[in-house]
Amino acid sequence: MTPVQSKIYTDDVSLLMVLIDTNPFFWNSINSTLSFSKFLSNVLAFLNSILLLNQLNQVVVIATGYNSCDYIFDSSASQNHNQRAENLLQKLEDFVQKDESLCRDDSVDGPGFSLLSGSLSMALCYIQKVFRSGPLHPRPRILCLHGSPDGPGQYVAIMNAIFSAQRSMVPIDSCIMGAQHSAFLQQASYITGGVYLKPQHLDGLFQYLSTVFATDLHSRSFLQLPKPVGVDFRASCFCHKNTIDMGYICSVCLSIFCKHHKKCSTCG
Amino acid sequence: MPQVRIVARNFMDMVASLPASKLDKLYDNSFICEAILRSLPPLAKKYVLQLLYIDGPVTAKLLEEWVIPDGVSKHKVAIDRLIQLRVLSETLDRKKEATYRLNPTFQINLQKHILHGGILPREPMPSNVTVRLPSLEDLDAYAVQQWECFLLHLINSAEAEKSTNISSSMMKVFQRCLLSQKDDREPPKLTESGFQFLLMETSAQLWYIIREYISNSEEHGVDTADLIAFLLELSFHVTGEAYNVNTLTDVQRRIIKDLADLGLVKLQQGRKESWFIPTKLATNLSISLADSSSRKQGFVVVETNFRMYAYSTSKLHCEILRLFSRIEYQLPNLIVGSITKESLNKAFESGITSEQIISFLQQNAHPRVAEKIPSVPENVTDQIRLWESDLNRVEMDPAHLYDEFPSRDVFEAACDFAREYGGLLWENSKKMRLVVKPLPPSRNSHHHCAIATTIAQQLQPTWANLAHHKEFPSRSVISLVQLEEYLQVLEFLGHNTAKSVRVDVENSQIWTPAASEQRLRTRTLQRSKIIFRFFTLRSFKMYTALQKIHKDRDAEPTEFEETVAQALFDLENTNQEIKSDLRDLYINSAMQIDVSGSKKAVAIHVPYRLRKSFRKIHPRLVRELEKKFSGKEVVFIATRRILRPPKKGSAIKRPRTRTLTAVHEAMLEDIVYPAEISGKRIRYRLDGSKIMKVFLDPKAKNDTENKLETFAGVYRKLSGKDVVFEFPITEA
Repeated sequence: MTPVQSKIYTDDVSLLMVLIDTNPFFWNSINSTLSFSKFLSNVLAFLNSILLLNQLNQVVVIATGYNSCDYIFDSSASQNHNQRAENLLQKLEDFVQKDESLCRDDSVDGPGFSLLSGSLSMALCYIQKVFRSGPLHPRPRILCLHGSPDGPGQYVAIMNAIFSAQRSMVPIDSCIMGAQHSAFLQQASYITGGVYLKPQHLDGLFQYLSTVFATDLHSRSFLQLPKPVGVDFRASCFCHKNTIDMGYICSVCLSIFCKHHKKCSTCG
Repeated sequence: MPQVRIVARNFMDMVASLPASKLDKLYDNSFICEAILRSLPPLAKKYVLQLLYIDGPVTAKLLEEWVIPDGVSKHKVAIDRLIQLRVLSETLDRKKEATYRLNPTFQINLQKHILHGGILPREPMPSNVTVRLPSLEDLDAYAVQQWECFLLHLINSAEAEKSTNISSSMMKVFQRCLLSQKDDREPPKLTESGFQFLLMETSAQLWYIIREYISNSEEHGVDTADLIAFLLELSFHVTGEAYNVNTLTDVQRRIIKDLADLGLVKLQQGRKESWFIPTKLATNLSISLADSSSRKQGFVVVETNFRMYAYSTSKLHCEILRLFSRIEYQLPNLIVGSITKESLNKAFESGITSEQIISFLQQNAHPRVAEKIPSVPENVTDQIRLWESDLNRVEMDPAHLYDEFPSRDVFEAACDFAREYGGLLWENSKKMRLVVKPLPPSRNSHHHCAIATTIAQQLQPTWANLAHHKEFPSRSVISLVQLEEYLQVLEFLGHNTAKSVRVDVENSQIWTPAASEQRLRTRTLQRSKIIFRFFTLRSFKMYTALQKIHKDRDAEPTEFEETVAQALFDLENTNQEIKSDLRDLYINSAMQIDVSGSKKAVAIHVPYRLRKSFRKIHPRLVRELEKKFSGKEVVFIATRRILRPPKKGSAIKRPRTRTLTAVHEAMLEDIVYPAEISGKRIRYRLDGSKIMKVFLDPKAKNDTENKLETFAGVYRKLSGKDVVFEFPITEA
């Protein structure tokens, strides 16, 4: 449902949803340019600067684990300003421990991949809740700080989330900290009109964040931002979750299969 | 260097206009840095953030590369603002290129803020000491109440229920711009800016008051910079938390008291300590510093039938609505009013514009209607604008009329010159007349001066000449004549006789004298012009007293006749009861007749066809006219033609009504109206003289008893015969 345009603040008030990848497999495998604690300090400084820019700015942090996702921090919940950082870190620790203990066997991809689809959906739900409350609401955007490789089992869910973000006009920005490009997030940023960036020098992460990702949606039309380069549009098939170049498509629901099926598993 | 003009329209402009040393001192306080950062335009904020950790200077070219070509203007605005506020300092490096550098204190403070998160200016007090903290709703209600009380007090001291503790000198300061006082006895009335102030949003009003407060702080020995710093600090506190008053300096304590009166904080007293609680008004102070509009709950619903329903209990809202609408009744939670033409005219007279009223209604629209587009029905907004433009129907431009050009060449030259400087309003090449706007005073080109002076010298414009014409009686009084029609009238009458015209600008009348009175001779002026106002009116009226008298065969009314006509005219305009009857009536002539030595009578000849209508209003008219001509009696007589007996050769049959005897008898009847003639006796004396006795009906005896001499005198004058009027003694 498209939100009523006139109800949005006209200037740079923004609601920023930050999705942090907390997959321990990824953070252990990364080389020593960026440790998790350094990453967190960059992110905390970045969040402080966002909240500094405008009194009405809102920041919500969602942690993307490999078994579950959860809200870590919400700036609009009345908290002591002094203890923002402590609260956030405390909650993050609790989450990580819970995540480890969950250990689901029926997870879609396996432990190497984080649940991006889950956190995207949670972010979009929060945004919809904000849209329906109050006479005016800020302009929302989602920032994905991701590092784990793309889990092909989540293709459908992520594409659905991307299309729903496109309809709600919520841009998805992505900052990739892993070694390889992420096809899903490239597509996400391209379709929703966000920014996709893979920083070359990860220890200067704060500068990348403040230069590129701190731009509010209002000013984005005036500033030069990294342009999308060669988006990887390959789909993954619905039955085996392999990325394919050529396949079969159901004429009713457009779901993609690598082998010919008599009956479409999505729509029948 | 800053290219943007500084206009102190909001807080940040005031900060920007502080001298450089004070501004740098302000930046030592980290809250001010934060507040200033928040108030910058979005692009400027981005630049600050990007430059935050860059220590060396950055070339201007690099900054420009960040922007796409479309946003260059915004880029300029942002850079100028940053330089104005001394956040960015511009220097020329060795290569003579402009470079920018962030203000070091500013930079350090912001870096600290980002790394350590926000620090509060002071800690809230522990809750065991602060008992009875008001809830957020109570606090809001308190703030609203204080603010409205303050506003009401500001506007009309008699209306406020509670007296505020703000010293009267402070109130006077606030009232200075908003109220004007004609004299000390009358209560002060709102000026135009006062009305506009009332219709502004709360944040704008708050800012205005704070600005006035700051400008006056110097006189009270409070440093402006300190005051601004404290106010900004206050906006970073948390609403609803109590803060110890002991943590304030003396100066700040004084300020806190004033702020409590305005509703920005609430002071409470505990057993040993006192504390203050900031309300939403204080914490929103820094929001309103930026340009975003904060929407509060609206309360007005306007319907298409011009009725207005305001769901509010506050007196202030009632007063504001009363400014431009008619409040019909007030229920416990609802004010019902309607927008009428009279109420809007009252508002327009006070200086409120229709745009302000419409924007007030739109901003305060009730949430139910606020989502609709438009929130105020279009027919209401259009009608408000139409009614405002109704008042602007007449436009007046000062103008000069040039007449009597000696030759066509001069006329053409004058026209061209006027066209050149864009001042030609009207011209008539046939009659060589010109109406122009006044010459702009800044013209000091010699060429133009020369032309202007030659024209002025060669012209000998007279007062406009009006000849009398049979359809345009002289001594005409024209009010509110459209200029073109006036000048057409002039053309119509031509330049035949040298009469002169007196222009009465205040009453908008132009007088032409009677032909018989040569009082106003032809005037030739050596220098210019008739300066009068160039009226443009929608309707053209030319209804004067001279329409009330109509003499045939182009005789001019005498002075006496003019006075009678004028009396009739005035009577018609003033007296409402006979206004409709008098409208179509006019007279033929009027005579003053001496009756019995001192007394005079006025005999008014009336056209034959109108005699019935005159008879209908006879008593009232006579009464009024006798009042006008005090002491003189008034008689109406119909004009009848008397034809001579036809000569031998002519074949015309002379009607009996046109004979002398018939006319005289009818005249007699006219004279004695409303009394009736019951009988006539002619007594013939022995020497052959005749005495006519006329008996009148005793019914009208009371009215006409004292007029018998008048009747006799009038009849004597008109017919030459002596008559005696009597009332018969015996009546059956």
